[in-house]
Amino acid sequence: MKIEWGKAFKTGIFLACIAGAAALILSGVNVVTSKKIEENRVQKEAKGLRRVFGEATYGEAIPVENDKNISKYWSVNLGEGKEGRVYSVSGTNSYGSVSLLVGIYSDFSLGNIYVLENTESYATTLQDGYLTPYIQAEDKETVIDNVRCGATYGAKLCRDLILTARNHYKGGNE
Amino acid sequence: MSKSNHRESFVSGIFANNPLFVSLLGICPALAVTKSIEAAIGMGLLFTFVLVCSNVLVSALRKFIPELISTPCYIIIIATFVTLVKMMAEAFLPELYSTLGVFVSLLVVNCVILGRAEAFASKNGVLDSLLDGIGNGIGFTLAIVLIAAVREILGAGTITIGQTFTFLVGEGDPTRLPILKGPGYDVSLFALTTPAGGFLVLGIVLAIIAAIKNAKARKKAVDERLAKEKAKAEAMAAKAAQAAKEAKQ
Repeated sequence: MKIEWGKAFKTGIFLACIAGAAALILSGVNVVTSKKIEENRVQKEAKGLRRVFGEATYGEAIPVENDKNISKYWSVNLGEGKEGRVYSVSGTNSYGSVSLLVGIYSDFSLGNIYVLENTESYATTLQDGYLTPYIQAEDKETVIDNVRCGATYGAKLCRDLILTARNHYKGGNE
Repeated sequence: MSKSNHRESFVSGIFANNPLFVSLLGICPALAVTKSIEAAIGMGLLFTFVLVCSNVLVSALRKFIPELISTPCYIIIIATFVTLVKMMAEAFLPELYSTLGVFVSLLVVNCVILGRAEAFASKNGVLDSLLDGIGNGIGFTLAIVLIAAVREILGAGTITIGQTFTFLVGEGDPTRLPILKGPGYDVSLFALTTPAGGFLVLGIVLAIIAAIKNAKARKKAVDERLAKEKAKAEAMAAKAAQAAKEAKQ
């Protein structure tokens, strides 16, 4: 088969031009949006902290290194001598990923959670079947194992993330 | 192209050739994001933006794109606009972005968008492609909003405002308007919020549209038959009158 070098060259140049133009446009948009996306992330985190323990006093965020799920935590003064921590945890499975803010009291009982990101393919089922009941439950210990909600793998991931946060607190890690 | 053709390009995608209800294209997002009206409106807006932009660019470049690599070129163009829309949504409508999730990215392989680029924009002028994009975008948006309205009202029993478009409620919580579900009563059909319920609603809507179309076609056939019979009767009456007149003479 004879190769038409001229035609192949023209086609290659055209594709390269289109791809280059696309890359330029997207780089430009990224410059405009990246700052705003970061601002949104910080705002969402601040909103999440208020949702987990209400209007408590939060310390500085302490980064956690060498942990695949926990990225940082905040020490929280809940008033009247009560304390706790809020952990920023995230994890992935075959269906997507979940990022949570998990509240733990100093007696290691489970507090509220806030969903920062839920990209599971059964995101709504996970939210309605596991996360919302967990958030609404007075006693979190009674609902944490109710993972059979139609998005079992996502719910197991969330449960494991919550328990990982508690174990970190229990372990006395600073 | 004449004005009537421009109008045809625009209107066709909304009603006669609605991408979802007539061509049965784009069913995946139509089922996945139609649990709430807000999410459906959001998806419709993003879809329309991508469709219009890709249609216009494909049409503008149609004489330069080598036929051999037309499809890869269309996909690059569509993927660029989808990525752009994704970044903009993440920055300026973060709740919409997280509600739609992976389905924003999946617009790259949406058969309506690629189909309009291949079948229409690559063969027509920029203005017609623009109108076609807007028409199909509006048609698709109306279709998914209709499905979402049925599923949210009958399935969830409420209409939620401010869950996806948080700017509607500011810092406050989303507002839920009770319709079939409220304090002390719940007559909602939960099954309609499930994926199977989505199929069911789509099937029922398609059946209603088909019934209306069939009824219209039947009415047209009956009208035509009556007009024919009337013309025949008039011709016979005229003939009889002529014969009577001749007999009289």
